[in-house]
Amino acid sequence: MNNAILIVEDELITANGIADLLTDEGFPIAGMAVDAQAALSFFDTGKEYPGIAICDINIQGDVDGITLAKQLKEHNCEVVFLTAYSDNTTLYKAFGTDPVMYIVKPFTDKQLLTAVHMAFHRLMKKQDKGETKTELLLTKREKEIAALVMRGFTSKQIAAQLFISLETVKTHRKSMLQKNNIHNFSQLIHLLYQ
Amino acid sequence: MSLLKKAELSIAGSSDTFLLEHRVFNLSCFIIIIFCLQGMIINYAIGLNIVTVWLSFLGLMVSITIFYLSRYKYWFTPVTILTYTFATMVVLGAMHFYNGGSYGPIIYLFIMLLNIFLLISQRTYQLIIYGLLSGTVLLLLLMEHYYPRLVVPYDSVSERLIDHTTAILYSMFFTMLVIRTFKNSYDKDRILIISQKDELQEAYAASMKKNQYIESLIKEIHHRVNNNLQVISSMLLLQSNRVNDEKIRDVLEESRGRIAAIALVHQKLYMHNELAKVNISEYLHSLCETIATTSAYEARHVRTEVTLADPLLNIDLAILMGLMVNELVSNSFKHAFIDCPSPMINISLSSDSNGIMTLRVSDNGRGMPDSDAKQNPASFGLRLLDILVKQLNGRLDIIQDNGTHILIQLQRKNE
Repeated sequence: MNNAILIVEDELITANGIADLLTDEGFPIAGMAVDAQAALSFFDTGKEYPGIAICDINIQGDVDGITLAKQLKEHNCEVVFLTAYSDNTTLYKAFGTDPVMYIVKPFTDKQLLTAVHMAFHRLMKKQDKGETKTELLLTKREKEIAALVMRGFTSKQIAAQLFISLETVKTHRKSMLQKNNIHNFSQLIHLLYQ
Repeated sequence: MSLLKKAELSIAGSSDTFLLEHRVFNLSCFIIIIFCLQGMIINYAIGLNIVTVWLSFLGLMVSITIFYLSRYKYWFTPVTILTYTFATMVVLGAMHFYNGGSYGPIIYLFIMLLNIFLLISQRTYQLIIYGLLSGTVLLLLLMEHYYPRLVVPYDSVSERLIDHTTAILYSMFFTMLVIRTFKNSYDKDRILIISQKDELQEAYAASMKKNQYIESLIKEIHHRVNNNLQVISSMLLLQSNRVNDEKIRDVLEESRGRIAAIALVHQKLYMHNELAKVNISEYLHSLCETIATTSAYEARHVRTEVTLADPLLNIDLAILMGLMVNELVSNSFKHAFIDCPSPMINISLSSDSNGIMTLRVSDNGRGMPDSDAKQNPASFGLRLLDILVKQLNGRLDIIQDNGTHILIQLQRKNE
């Protein structure tokens, strides 16, 4: 399953910020690219392809993020646009590539996490092809945490909401994966959405 | 310049000094002078009744006087035309009976002069002139019908033909000259208007292009501002993930919230094509929704109500107001609702008839632990609030009554 996330962003500080946030929330990062060529090279290596791309529109090189998105879609990669452009022309052009979501910078953690959850859900729905659903084994506390995760809260926000420590939230999240024999958090998100 | 044009300019006057109608009037007077003069000579030469010679002389004197007053004393009013109309009625009316009556050329001289007077007179006087001249013609024909002996017939056919020939040639020349003058002026104006229209269209297209360029520049600036705010926010996030101290992490997170509040103003400006003002109602609503969700609450926990007659605030005021609301709402979510079963924050922004705006942020939480917080603001949030209120020359009141109620009053300046 191609569940790693590719970050296409020419501002490396922003790219690293995104990577940090997503890693913290248990999502695997395939890598970062500053232009279309670097982004597409992830599909040439023969390794596991990225399944989701968080894509800026104004990137380095001659090819913009919208054109790149069309090419990424050909590799069955779901696209989330993350850009500071929010004018109608750019929006309509971007919508033509059928992205999962269009987020305007600066983003909030919740916006990005919700978009990534939805992207995984869409990706895995395609890969699932209606296979059997897994019943999740969760405790009451884990269910509470799972519900907040689905609403796009970060682990830190969940900890604040439930008046527990960040470490406790992380332990619960690990436990959820182990008990249900799920290899990564994106799969859990998909099952939660189901 | 041809001799004819020079002569025309000297008779009619320059278009810089005289209106078109005034120039045509001057020209008409002059031609009538010539006609009267040749009428005197020809009438005398062909042996017409001597009264026609004297009438031509009278017409000559009247025409010279009016030409002088009009051309050199700039007397060109409705009265000038009416005076000349009366003189025409008298002189040509009398001439009619001594020039063969309806067998002579006087009636069509009346028609020609009527056309010319109508061309140069103001709209409101046209009907009067028409009434006077057509009434005179009718009267002359009736008099001729009832008193045929008043008419002095031509002595011979050749006398009548000569009289007709001179009058016809004169009328045709006169009409041609007046129409030509009008047509020239009309053509000139038309060319001028067309060229001005082209220039205006070019200027309009250029200004539209410039406007679009400026708008795209402003949008690009907003885009860059948002991009840079994203970089700052990401830097704080990266730093926050690498510190172990919970308090420092909180401080960095709070700073990200403040950056988001400023960025949201730019997003609203950028998205609505209004490049200098922001709808404060939409902005506060979106801002509170963002703060609620990043504080692990939900949008339904904050209610905003803006009752300003004009909710469009300039960007500077909107940013400062957004920062104040950000501090107050974040603070309530952070501290006020521990063990609160139904947390709620109400925000209202209203204005009175004197332009005093009141921002009210109320929560139903447990209240501030230190009631003297305003005088001695311990937290950075309250200090920031104090600074923002001072910057806006506003007034801050904190009321503790079943929760915390913050009232900020400020004068809305002319934007």
